[in-house]
Amino acid sequence: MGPKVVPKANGVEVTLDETVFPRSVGLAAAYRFLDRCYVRVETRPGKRLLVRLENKDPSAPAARKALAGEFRNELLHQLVRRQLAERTDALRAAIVGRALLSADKALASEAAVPAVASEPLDFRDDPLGIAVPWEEKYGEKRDGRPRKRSGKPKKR
Amino acid sequence: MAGRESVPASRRSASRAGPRVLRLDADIYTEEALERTRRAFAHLAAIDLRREGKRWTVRFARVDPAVADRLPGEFANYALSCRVVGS
Repeated sequence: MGPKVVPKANGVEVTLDETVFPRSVGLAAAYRFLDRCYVRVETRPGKRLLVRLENKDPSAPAARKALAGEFRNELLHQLVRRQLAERTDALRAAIVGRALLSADKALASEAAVPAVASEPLDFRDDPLGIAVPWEEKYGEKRDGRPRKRSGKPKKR
Repeated sequence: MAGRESVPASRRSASRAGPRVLRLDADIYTEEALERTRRAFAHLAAIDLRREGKRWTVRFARVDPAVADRLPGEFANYALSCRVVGS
C-alpha cells in the first residue's frame, strides 16, 4: 500500500504503512524536510505512521502538491538506501575493521589474511633450484657443458 | 486548544505556530531526545516536560517574544532530529 496523502491548509499529511515503509525509513525521510517544514510524526493504529509536513513559509497549492511528491520520492530514496546498507553491512564492517586494525601493527599482522596461492606449496619444493649444491650444478662438466638438471625440482 | 497559554488577542491572531502546549507521540519521541531538546531551548523559554499516557506534553512559559510563533514547531523539529540522529 502506497503512502496516503491528504492536503492541509499549509502542508500535507502523509500516512505510511509501516509494513511497507519501516519506521526508520519514514523518520529518515521526514528528517530531510526539517529545514523547510515543521514536521510532526505520530503513530496510528494498524502499524501506520502519520507524518505532518507544514511549510515554514505559506505556500501555494502547487507547492503543497510538490511537497507531497518530494516526500514520496524521499521515502523511496530512504528505502533503497536502507536495503543497500543492509546488503553491504558485512563488507563495510570488514573494511572498517581492517582499517582500524592496520593502525596497530601487532594486531594487523595477526589479522593479516594469508596470500592465496594458485597451488598448495610445500616447504621442500625448490622450483628455482636454490638448494642444489654448486658442485652438482657447475662442478662436473660433460663435453664442456654444465650438467643439466632434470626439469623437476629436487626435494630434500 | 486546552492548555493554551493566555496570549493577547492581537498576538494570538498573528501567531501561526499555534499553541504553547505541544503534544508529541511517546512511541516516536524518546525521553532522551526531548531532554536534549529542552536543554537546547532552555534559553528561550521555561519548558516543562511531562509524560501523560502515550504522549509527551511540553508546556512553554515565559517565552521569548521574538521566537514565540516558531518555538513549538522548531522544538518538535529539533526533537525529531535528536530522535533520528541519536537512534
